Amino acid sequence: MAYTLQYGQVTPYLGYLAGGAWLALQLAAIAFVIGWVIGLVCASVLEYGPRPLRWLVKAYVIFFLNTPLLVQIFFLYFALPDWGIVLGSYQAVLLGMAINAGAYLTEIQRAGFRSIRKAEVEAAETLGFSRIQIIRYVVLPHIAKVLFPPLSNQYIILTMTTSIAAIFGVEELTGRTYNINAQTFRSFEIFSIAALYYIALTLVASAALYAVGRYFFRIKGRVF
Amino acid sequence: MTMSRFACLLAACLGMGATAPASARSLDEILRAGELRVGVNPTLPPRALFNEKNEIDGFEPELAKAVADKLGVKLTLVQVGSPDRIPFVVADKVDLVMGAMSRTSERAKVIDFTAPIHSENYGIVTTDAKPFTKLADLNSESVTLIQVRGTTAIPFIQKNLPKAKLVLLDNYNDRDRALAQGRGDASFDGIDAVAYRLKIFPAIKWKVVATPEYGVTYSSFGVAKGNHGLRDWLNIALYELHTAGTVEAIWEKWFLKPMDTKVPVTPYF
Amino acid sequence: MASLLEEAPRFFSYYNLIFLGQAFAYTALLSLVGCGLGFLIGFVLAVLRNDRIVGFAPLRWFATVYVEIFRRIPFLVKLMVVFFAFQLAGFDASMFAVAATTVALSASAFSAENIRAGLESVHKNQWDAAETMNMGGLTALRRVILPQSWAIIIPPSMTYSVGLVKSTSIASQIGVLELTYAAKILNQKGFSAAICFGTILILYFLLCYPMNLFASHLERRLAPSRHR
Repeated sequence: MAYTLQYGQVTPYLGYLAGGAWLALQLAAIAFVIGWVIGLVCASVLEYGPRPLRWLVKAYVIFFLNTPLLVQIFFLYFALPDWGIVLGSYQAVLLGMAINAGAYLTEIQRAGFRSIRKAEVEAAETLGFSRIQIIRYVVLPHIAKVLFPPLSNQYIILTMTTSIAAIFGVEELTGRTYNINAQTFRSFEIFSIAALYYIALTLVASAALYAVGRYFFRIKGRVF
Repeated sequence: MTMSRFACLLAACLGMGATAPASARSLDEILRAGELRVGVNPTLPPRALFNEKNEIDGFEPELAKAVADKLGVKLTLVQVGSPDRIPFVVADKVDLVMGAMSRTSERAKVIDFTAPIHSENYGIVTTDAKPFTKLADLNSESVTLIQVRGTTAIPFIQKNLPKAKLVLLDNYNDRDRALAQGRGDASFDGIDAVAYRLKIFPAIKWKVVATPEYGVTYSSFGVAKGNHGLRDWLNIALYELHTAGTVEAIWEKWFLKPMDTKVPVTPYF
Repeated sequence: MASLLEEAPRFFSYYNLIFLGQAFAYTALLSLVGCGLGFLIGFVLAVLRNDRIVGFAPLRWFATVYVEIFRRIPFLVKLMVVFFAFQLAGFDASMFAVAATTVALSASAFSAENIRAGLESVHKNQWDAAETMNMGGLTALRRVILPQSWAIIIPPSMTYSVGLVKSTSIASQIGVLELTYAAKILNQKGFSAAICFGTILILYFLLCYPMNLFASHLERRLAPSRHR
């Protein structure tokens, strides 16, 4: 069967897709911030919390790291209403992504806590640094250096993960791609363009995060 | 398992077996092979579904069995999805395809259709509490319609009911559940299957409003383009199955009600 | 909770258990085939990117671009692109093949990056030493570099494979009869979403958790043997 690719038929939709990309970025950013807070709290519990609480957090992290996000969101979206909790598409996807990211960010931030070296803090104390100075000059730069690269990677992974939202009727980049596909039947063309959008999105994010890491934390390694 | 057997299994899984250029099997070849391969989509109950034993069953498999019996060959059901059912017949992986094959002039450019098997009727699926009685009632900002992505109803809604809010879900199962959970007010789509489908939500008082103003479409067997011998035989078999009442009987068994619009049966094709 | 217990005997019927068991095996097979194939492709790409072995710059660029492209496309979008690409190419491919190809593309991009890092973890003096002993690039790779880099390569590969096992749930979108698709079908039959999706969450956990445990076990065991 001879089929000629006709990208011309889908170019009118590029702006509509860009709107979807913007939504995807927003979704990733909000999920990341919530997940980051969850991760910070859970990592602190793992390091300093009482034992039963630690077990609870451990169970949370292990469970969410070992089950698929898609099924987690299915559960949130379709099973919770049986107990009277009806989450909208956007809320269910956002909550699922945030809880899931929270598990990963707990692991990452715990490694950050672990990287603080007692000896360095003691040395700073001996030198007469105040508490704030110790945090500012000894602890933070250290943590930042350890945490910045994996946190950045996680953000970029989250950006790609947002595509799952399409399955729940959120009209982000992939959801809009499905819509255009249904209208034009130019399936390969429109999905390959969506792929290019994701490549561009994550490349720009990588470059921006690299610049931030380089400027603020003197990290030379690449991001994602 | 030896490595070579494992490799064979993998090759089979990956479908790398026969990639010879596809040419549809003629009626003769089907008779000689003693096997009729029919594509059905088990995610569209009650047309086709996984039964208690998780085997493929339903209206289409049962009708396909009746057809295979008339031909005197064994029936082999092949699972197809919505996007790949036409390629399946084009690539000669099945002899005929079902799976709610609505006849459209667009599709008829790619495959050939037989005479109609059944009608497809449209309407509004909603709950008892909602006041909708006709399509125009849905054209309001306060109405949220839950639809399935990529279905023919969507361009119609966007054109004729532009004020309604649209939520697009992935498949009919998700749509039904979303309606049951009150995530929207109604859905405009085919209504033949709802009597069967909505049984699984006994707590909900459903209301189905037929919308004859939308028109009726017909569903047929699809065969490879130019496979006229098979198509002509199927037309005669269908005529016999229609006049004997077999199609209607199987329909009522699965769809739990008579066909809304009867298919006019004529001896001429 | 009570309603879950009530429907449990019907849900865990003989036929449903077989159905779920088959779906579990399908998820495992899809992951295994996809990751295995992906690892092989990734290995070739990593070798292509290594200037000690491949002297031809355009091949190295190709490998780099390939990796950059395929690790930046979400699994769902990649799945659809592969699906429609096969259709355009007139490839007579099953849905399993489409899904396995998508897993393999994802795995290859990650593996290429990961294996490259593993190869680079070996000090470059060792390449020089191998060269002085008159070894060619590939021989040096096989006899000197690889034995030392496995420890760096294997643990993250395992962890990433767990991620891909989870991603195979998205293959349910095109109708591959794996765990998620099976849950959707059972859900369609009227079993509650809680029992359908809850059960497969546990099944995924049973598949992924041992893999992750094994990965961290390997990491601990292999780590001290690093020579830098």
